[in-house]
Amino acid sequence: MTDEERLAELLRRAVPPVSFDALDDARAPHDLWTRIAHRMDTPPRWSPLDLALAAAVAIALILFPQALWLIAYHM
Amino acid sequence: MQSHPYLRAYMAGTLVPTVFLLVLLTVYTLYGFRLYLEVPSQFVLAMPARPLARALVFPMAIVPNLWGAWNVLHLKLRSRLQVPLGAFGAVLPIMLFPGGIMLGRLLDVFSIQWWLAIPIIPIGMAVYYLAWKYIVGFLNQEMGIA
Repeated sequence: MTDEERLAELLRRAVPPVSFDALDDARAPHDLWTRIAHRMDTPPRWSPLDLALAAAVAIALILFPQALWLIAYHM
Repeated sequence: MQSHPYLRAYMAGTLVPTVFLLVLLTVYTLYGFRLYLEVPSQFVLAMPARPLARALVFPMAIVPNLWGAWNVLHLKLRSRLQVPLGAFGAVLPIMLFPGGIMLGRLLDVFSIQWWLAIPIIPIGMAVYYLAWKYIVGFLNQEMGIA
């Protein structure tokens, strides 16, 4: 075994093998752009607050249907 | 497509009320009333043409332009203000509703007491919040200015 082969063997034993997932996780803090780009591409999800707001609007318009025309006039 | 971001913001903003007006008029014409166009007698469709023309001034000319200008303003100020698009859009009815009601009175389109109109403004703000967050936000994204 040559010195180079021995050195490679020592290095292999000293540094545990790294999985691709672990590599991605380790790289993620330095490579935030892919996450930002992904976040920008995905449409905003309906949050529970927005759903509650939409439900409140629907209820209000059912209770006061005359408000619908005034809102529609301003849309 | 990186040039003229304000023009794109304006176009994205005007699209929603423009399309909505078309839908509203279609529903109005089909189900609401029959229009009476004051021209040949065969065109008997429920609302006299003159009030209809006056009624259309606000939703057709002012609202879409204001939406476009508001979207441009958000694009211009967003780096400084850091206000989400939905919240920014929800502020618009505070100015728009009093203006629309006053113009409606002025043009004799409709009349509503302020004490009846003011409680409707929060409902309008909620509708605007959702429309701006999800529809205008989507259009801005499509135009590359999100």
